[in-house]
Order: sequence, then structure tokens, then C-alpha cells
Amino acid sequence: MDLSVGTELPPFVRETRMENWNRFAAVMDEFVPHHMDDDDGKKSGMPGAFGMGNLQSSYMHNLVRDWMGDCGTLRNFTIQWQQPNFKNTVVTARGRITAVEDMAEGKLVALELWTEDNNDRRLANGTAKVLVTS
Amino acid sequence: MSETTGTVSNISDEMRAAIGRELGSRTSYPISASDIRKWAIAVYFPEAPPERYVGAGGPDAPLVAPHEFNPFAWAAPGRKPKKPDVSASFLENQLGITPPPLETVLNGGTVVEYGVPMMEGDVITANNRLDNYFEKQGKRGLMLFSSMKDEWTNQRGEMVKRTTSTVIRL
Repeated sequence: MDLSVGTELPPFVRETRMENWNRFAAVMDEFVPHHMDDDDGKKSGMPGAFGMGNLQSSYMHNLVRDWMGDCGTLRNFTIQWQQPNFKNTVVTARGRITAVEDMAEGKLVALELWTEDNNDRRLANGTAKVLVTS
Repeated sequence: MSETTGTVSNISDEMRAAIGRELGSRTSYPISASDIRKWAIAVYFPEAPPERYVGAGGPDAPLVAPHEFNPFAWAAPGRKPKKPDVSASFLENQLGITPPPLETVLNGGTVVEYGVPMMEGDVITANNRLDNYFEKQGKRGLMLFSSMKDEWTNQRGEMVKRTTSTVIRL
């Protein structure tokens, strides 16, 4: 595993549509009308229904988990939502290493995370710290 | 309401006095392997989730839940299903105090510290409290920030995660 500062994580990519949002609503019990119905999304000032912020958080977690595998332990995670995830867009979660600190148990790796869509819109920003032990 | 420099604060004395108050405590049903599998399938859809989230599970090899798994979705002991309060005054409604006269609510972000993982069979207890109210000047006027702290522990009293969530109202 390359732990050099600046190293980018392999991206996590999903095309987002109602199939994704319905499944997430079903496990989260997040059947909020503006996530389910275009008319309700428009009432919120959006072009139509839009995705759940918590699903962006899951995509960032997936990105980190896929990268660290069994070698790391997620210690900290932050997220700040920037813009809604619109229907039928491709969302990519990305990350890069910003710092590495030697610890007694291993290396504490700081990550910058974000999600963006295929229209160059930044959807969420985040950070994580992962303890890498092997 | 109290006057601040050139603006009117929306933090009332009643709201200030509520800082630190408990917003609620809840305990989950035992996390089932099925709960974990369904969560993982949803968040990795349409690709298959990693095998560690969808395996056979059971007492000899309990499944580990994804970090952001929510054991309180749908049902918890003693909690009756009800329509969620998605209004801008949801926080003060929980506290039983007068809300500020603001109608727009935005999610300001979340900070999480993770402890031990959630496992199949775990029972999670959450304690949620009002952490703080503060204000900042924004392009659309004075913005009210409200932060809440939520600490989750498992049935052994081990820390699962501490979350600080912030909402912005204007």
C-alpha cells in the first residue's frame, strides 16, 4: 500500500437514480418526500427529487473501506454537504492522502475526501483518519 | 432575543439555558445479520458488497456492520412509528421550548469518532444531547448553528462512536 502524501485512492463510482435512493431509504427509513418525488424536490427549489446526504456519506465510507481493506482501522470521519445529488448523475467519491504520522500501533493516515458528479459539481467534502497496521 | 452587533440574535435565553440538555436516549433491538446484509447491499448497489457484510454470519462468525450502519432505523424498543419532524424547529420541539423564528434548515456537517465496530447481535444505546448554539454572519444574514452530540455504546459499555452533527438555520 502506497502511503505517500498526495497518493489518490481508487475512486468509488456509482450512477445514482431512484434504484439507489429507494434502497437506501428502505434501510435508513428515510422516505422524505423530496428524495422520492420530483414535484416535492421542486418545492424545495431543486430541479426534481434529489439523493440523501447520508448516502454520500456511505459512498465516502465505501471509498475508504475499499482502499484500506483489512490493513486499516477507520478512526475519524467528517463530512460537510455542499450540493444535492441530482437524479441520473454519476457520483464519484475520491480521496487523497494528506498526512502520515508514525504511531506506536502503526501509521495514522489522514485523508481528504470528496464526492463530485459528472457535471463537475462538488457534492460533499470530508476527511478521515485511518490507522494502517500492516 | 438579544442584540448583537448590527443584528438580532435568534438565540433566546430559553435556548441558551437548554445547552447541554439531553435530547433523548434510545436502545436498539439486537442487530441482525439480515440488517447488516441489507444495509451493505443498499450502499454498494448495484455492485455486490464485500463478502464480510453478506456472509453466513451466526454466533461463530458474526458479521461486522459497515461503520455508518444505523441500528435505530425503522424501530427501537418503546418507540412508536411516527412521521419524522423535518421542520426547522425540530430541535426545540424535542426540547419543548420555543423555537427561533427561522424557516430554512441546512445540514452543516458531521464529525465522527469511531470506537469498536458494531457486530451482529450487538445492542446499541445512544445518548443524544444539545451541544451548543452559536451564530455567524452569512451572505443571507445571521445564521444559527446548532450542534448535537450523540454517543453510542454497545451492550458491554464499549464506545462505538461519538458523532457531532450541526444544522444551520436561516
